[in-house]
Amino acid sequence: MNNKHNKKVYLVTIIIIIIYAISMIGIDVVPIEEVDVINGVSYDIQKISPTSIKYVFPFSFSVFYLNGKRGNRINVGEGLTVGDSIQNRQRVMNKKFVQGLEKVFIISEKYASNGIRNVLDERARSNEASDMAFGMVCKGNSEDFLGLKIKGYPSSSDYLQGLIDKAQQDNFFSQNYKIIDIFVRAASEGRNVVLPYVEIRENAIEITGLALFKKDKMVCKVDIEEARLLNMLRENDVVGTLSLEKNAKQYIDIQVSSKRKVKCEKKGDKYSFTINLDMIGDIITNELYKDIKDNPQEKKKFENEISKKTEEQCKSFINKMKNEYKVDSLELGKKAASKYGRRKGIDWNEVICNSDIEVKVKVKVSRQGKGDY
Amino acid sequence: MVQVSKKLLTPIEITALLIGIMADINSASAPNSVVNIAKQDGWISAALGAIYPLYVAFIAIYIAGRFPKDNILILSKKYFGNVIGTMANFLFFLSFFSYFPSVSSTTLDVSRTYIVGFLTPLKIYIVMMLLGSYSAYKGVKVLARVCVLNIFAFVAIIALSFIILMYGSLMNIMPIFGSGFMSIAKGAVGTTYDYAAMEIIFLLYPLINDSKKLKSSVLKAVAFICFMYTWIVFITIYCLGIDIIPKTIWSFFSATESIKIEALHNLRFLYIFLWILTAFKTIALLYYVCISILHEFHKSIGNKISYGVLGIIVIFITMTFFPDRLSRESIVSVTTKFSVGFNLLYITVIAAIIFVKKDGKGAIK
Repeated sequence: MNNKHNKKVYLVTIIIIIIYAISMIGIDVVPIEEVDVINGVSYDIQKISPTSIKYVFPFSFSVFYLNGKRGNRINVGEGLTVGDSIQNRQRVMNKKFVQGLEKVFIISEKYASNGIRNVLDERARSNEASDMAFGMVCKGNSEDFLGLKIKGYPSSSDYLQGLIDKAQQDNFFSQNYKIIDIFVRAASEGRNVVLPYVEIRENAIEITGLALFKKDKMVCKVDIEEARLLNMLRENDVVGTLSLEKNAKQYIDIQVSSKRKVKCEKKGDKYSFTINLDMIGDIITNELYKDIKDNPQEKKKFENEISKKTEEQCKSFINKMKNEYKVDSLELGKKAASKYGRRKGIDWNEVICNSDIEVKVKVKVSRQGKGDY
Repeated sequence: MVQVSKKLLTPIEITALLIGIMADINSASAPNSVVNIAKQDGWISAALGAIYPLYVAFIAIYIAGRFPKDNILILSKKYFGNVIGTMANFLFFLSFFSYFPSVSSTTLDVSRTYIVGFLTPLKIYIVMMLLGSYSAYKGVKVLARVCVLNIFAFVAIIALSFIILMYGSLMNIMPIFGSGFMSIAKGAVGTTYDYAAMEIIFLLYPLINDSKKLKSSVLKAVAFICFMYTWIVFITIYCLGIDIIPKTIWSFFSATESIKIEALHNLRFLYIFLWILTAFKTIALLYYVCISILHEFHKSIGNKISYGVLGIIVIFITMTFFPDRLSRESIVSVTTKFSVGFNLLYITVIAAIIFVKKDGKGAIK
């Protein structure tokens, strides 16, 4: 029995060794110092003539030195197609490169207005590329963003990842800017992509608004004020700050978390939508309502006023969206399609821009902090 | 006697074997096959598709009730005569064998896409067949234990996928019944490949140690697999929506990518790890089924050399006729029709003959 058991152990061990040996024939394994790890990808285009364009792809690499330190390098690949530019990039690289750890991908505004379909295709196809990298649209050349030296960070991509990831702390931003989210939003019926818009101001990168897309093409950029309203109307379960001010010295701020519910109705060919926003929040500062801590009426008055103000702001934004941007960035088409049937060849961007959109905002104060000074 | 009872299968092992042969790596792309026709109601189609294994299960329970000690190969020789019976058995073998290259080439595709893109197909096939033949050579009891372990992997897969509920939206599956009953029924036809190979039960039922429990263990397997497929299709539509699923190849893996966890980056790697074990187990099972049917034709089949020869034949067929996904799908769409059609006819005819002749144990004469 024991002898038989030993035989079995030897056989299994030998099989495992054979499997490993077969797998490793003809494959070169290199130490980490011999590879370049991509940490940021960016996409840019250049017009070379009125009809044709050239793709410019700056990539940011982490370089590992023998003494254990980590550096950063930018390489640019140019070409007439995506594959061509990758091929050209290899001509200026002296190491093997590894994908899958990229933190961000930056699309220049020019590229985005030209359509990001080929970027998504390349990302969806690649089995190595990370689907969790954060996307953003930048002003000007994307190479400047990757190459920018930011104090305290090994590379600008590390900083940018945090910038987008932690944007959800305020301003009603969501976290849905990863590549996998863009895949889902760009091709689904009744949905549109929205990406953070970043700019370099005084040698630092900041989010200055949102880039609105119609399917895979960027339509326009909205500034941060409108971006807050858009986020509020578009996303569920997000956090932001509302304020009500009479003059420079008398104002009140409240940080709220908002819940969004959409109702959709159809009369004949006309759709009508109601967006209900329920916000509950804590007062940050109060220099306007003197008695808000003790007087329920005063609190009610504040809640009504701030709800009314936000509602008006939302309405004016929706009007602007319907008439100027002409794109359904609020994902209302998704709701209508889920209620009245899919795949009927309806252009939801057009339908939403011609339908009535009602907004109802309810703000409630839950906590007032430690005291009222 | 002790030796014999050790070789017999317990009811839970029968359940595990049945789940094991039905759930192969292709179930990761099960949503793709139904969504094209049934749209957002694809998950209803996936549930409806379980009628096929359910039918097989009832026939098996009926035949096993009459002949608890004879498997279908012996029965067909008994009723059809030696010549036609052997031919029918050979076709029965072919119906299983037709799944073999397609399962191996799907496994190859997944492992080359997601895990070992740097390995050549031949290397992966050799590893696959080594693992498959070794575990199949160890006999059905060992395979059954592997399958029982594999059920834990499935439970883990299903349990972890509940996290996806946080990332999708119910709006993606609405309106329910919006695509019409006809498309739902047509979509159910698309799931036959995923539900196929349940016919292995006709070889296994003589091996159960408690034949009274056969009914419950077979029905449990059907219920589990039906729930699993319905859940996979449902959660994938819930997460990605019907417009994205056709853009992916293994849509369930894409759905799992939305789950962000620390250290592992996302859940995909964990899923592929669990799923590749499932795939190896399916290959081992197919290995066992093919050898054990061939064993009926000639007693020498079943020794070590025959395992090696079968592996080489499968690798040859797979590399010649199944070089990529498109060619595989065009062949599989034909072979699945043949396998399913023949198997259903075969078991129905045998069950009908038993019914008409009132043969076997417990028949009212």
